[in-house]
Amino acid sequence: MTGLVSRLSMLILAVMAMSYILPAAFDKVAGRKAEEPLLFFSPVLQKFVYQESLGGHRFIYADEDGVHYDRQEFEALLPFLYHRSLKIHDLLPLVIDGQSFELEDIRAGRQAVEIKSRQVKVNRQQIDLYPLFNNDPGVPMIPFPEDVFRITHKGMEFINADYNRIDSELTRDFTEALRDKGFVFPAEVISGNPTNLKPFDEGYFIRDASGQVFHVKRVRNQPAIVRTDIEPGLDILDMVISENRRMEFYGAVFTTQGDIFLISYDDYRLIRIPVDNFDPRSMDFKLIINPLYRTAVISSHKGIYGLAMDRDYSAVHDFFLERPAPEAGFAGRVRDFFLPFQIILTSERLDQAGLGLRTGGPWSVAGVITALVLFLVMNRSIRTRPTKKMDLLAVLLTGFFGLVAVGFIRDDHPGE
Amino acid sequence: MISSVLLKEWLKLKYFFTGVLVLNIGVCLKIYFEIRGLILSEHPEMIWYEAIHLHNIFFRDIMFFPLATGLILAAAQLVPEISRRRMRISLHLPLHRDLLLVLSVAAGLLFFLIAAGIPAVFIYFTMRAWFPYEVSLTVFTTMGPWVLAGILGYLGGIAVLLEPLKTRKVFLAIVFSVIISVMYTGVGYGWLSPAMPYLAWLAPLFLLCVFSSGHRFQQRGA
Amino acid sequence: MNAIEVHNLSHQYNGRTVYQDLTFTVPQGSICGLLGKNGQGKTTLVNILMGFLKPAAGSCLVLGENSHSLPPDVRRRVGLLHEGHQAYEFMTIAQTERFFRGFYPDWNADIFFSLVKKMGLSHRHRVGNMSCGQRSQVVLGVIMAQNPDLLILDDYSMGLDAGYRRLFLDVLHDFAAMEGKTIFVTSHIVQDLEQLVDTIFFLDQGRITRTGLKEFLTSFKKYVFFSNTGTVPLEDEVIKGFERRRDRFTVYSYQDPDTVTEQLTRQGVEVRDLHRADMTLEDGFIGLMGKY
Repeated sequence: MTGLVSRLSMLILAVMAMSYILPAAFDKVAGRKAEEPLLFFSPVLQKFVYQESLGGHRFIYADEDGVHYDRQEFEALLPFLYHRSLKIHDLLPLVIDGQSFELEDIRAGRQAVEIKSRQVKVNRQQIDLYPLFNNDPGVPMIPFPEDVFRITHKGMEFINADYNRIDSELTRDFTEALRDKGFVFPAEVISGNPTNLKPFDEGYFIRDASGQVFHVKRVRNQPAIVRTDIEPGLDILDMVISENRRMEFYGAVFTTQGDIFLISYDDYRLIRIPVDNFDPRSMDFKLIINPLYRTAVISSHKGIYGLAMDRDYSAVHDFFLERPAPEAGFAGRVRDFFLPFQIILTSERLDQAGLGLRTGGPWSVAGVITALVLFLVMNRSIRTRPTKKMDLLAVLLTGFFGLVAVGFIRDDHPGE
Repeated sequence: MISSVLLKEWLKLKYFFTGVLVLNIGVCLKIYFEIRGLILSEHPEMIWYEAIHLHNIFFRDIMFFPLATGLILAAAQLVPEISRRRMRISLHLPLHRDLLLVLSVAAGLLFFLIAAGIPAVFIYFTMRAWFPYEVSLTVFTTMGPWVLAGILGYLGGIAVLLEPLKTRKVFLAIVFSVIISVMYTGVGYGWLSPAMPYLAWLAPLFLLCVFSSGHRFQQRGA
Repeated sequence: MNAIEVHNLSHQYNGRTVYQDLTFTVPQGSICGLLGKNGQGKTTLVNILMGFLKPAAGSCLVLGENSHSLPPDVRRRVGLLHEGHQAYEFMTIAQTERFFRGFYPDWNADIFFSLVKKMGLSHRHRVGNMSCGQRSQVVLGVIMAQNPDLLILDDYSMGLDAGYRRLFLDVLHDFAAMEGKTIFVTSHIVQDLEQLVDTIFFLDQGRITRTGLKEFLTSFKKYVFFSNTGTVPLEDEVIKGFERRRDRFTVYSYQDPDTVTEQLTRQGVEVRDLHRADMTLEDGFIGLMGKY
């Protein structure tokens, strides 16, 4: 009995190992890394254009109608993006839609925010200890604070790094200040930019246990707290703060339902990005701002979706660029045939381990059947004994993986 | 009977266990002094930033030691039995072969867990001395996969050493190596944590392989 | 009950058939020696008896159970001496006793220590630091303390000098004298067996023949004669084996002297002074099996 179970374990482990490493090795050798196309909204064409890599520094430049361009034409379609060449080619001031833009106008009106799914709270491991930068108007740059804070059900604790001990004064000041504003401990979401490599500091946006969102800053070591009017019922998944000199919005908010909002500087009013079917857990989000348009670009495994909006974030135009299925080629078919499934540990969408099983298509089925036939043929010619049921099942379920496994892990019979 | 088996395993292991323990503690001391030096010479808040937000692991030095420990203990337990057919002595003892294996493996695993657990605790306290408790707790989530690699290395090592047929030995070694390499994927603290509940099931699977190899070892003329 | 029962045993080794349909029994209480030239499958047979090889076909029962899957309680009654006196080298004498004690409820520590005492070594002496002979004493001590019903010894004499061999034989004698003990032994030193066994198994060309020791030594005869003939005796039905030292010939046969003389003459060999000589077991073994 133990013999049967232990042999089964060996077969399972062998199939696991093969399905983990062989497809990955195949991909590496066959060079099947699919690079994501870049999607933009052209203010000149009023259409979406994209740039696709064919590998080896070769690119396709096309628009949503399928018209192809060369590199110079493409750059001319995106004057805000390639604004530096405007100066070189003496094309300033830029005139589009009856409006005129100088270089400084362009620079001041550009901003990009990118939030990949792997940055989202549930997709990564993150210790909830954050540096609350001290804003002192007298000091030109932002020095790193000597402490970090955590928010527990007791309050906002500051731990000093020099002594690895709680700074009771800071803790008391901030906890009381938060309580005064009605903060319900502990915090559910803490979002900020924990680096001092930014133009200025806007502290942290913190959602408390009752759903209210607070804006917490430290000014001359004193708490500066605002209770925002952001709707507590909003099921916030995560917030991402991005300090920018344009000071249009503090950052973005994702809800579990897939809504995207920007937190504007105008009294924390939420600006909705009108996209549907967005899942922050599995899709990347990009917001490209230029003087005329705001473009939201959302990438998923299916493809890239672009939404162009005007300055008030009302939708103007959208387009969906399907991702070419990488499995369609000959290499893909060979892979599916011999390697019917793959155990994956990493995902582009996660910043931590995510176990997954990827199965192939019809070619995998063909591969399994072929392996089964091979198995039965080889079995008949080599052995005179009846086929073991476990072996048959192994090959039936896992194709060539099982064939190799039962080949090496033969049944225990004397005289072999 | 059980005490006899444990006595035998201890006699085989005692020097290697001590050696491996000393080695591990040596690395822990190195880590201790390195971290201490960093904290004292650099700005602690920057070191904290590196640990918390840049996900820098300051005790990386210990990474492969649990695996090495497992492999060494497996070899120390089996080589005296396999060389010159000494396994026959064990196989003739009035004790079920599988029970004998279970007891021997249990003894080996016990020593392994001590040899791998002590460094983990040591490093935890090292980190606790200079970092907030959340950071020191990641010692366990980060070292968990490395210790699991050691357990799998121990069990896999025994299964491979016991396997009599050379081609199958090599095949098993490759399969086990691939699976153990999974424990070292990822960057940053606790990267493998979501997968660990599933990966932990690899241990009983590896253990079952030991029985298969043991059975074949006896079949092939021990 | 028979201590060992083998029925239609067949086994191959490296593609070559070692035995086919081998059948024999070892009754309880008998002291048996297995004799055969190297390469005849002695070691394989002993390995099968000891349970370390599963035979290709046929059955091999030890104390009533299948040899390759003996239940623990049967294994407890069987004492095995492995070729080369295998022991745990990392244990001391005391640790060896403590280790094995745990497995045998009938363990007699006095027997173990009395055997070991003869070597005059400290109980903290490691087995790995002992000579082959000293190690054999430890192993013997373990087996005897176990008080088995069946003793299977695979070439106990290997690596032992005359002194330790004699010690071994003494102990085996005493053991054999006890009631209901069965011994199955092989040895390179055939002569030792003559003092010990009462039954001989000859293994030759995949066939096994059983004969009582006394019976063998009386029925199989050694004849010596002189001859200057150039003709050399041929082995046949009558002449089982021969040796020659210059003009002194030795022939072995089951037949009486007259028949032998007649056969030799028929072969064209000159025979002078043919007379029967004392035959040791080793003589008989070589006479029957040949030297190669």
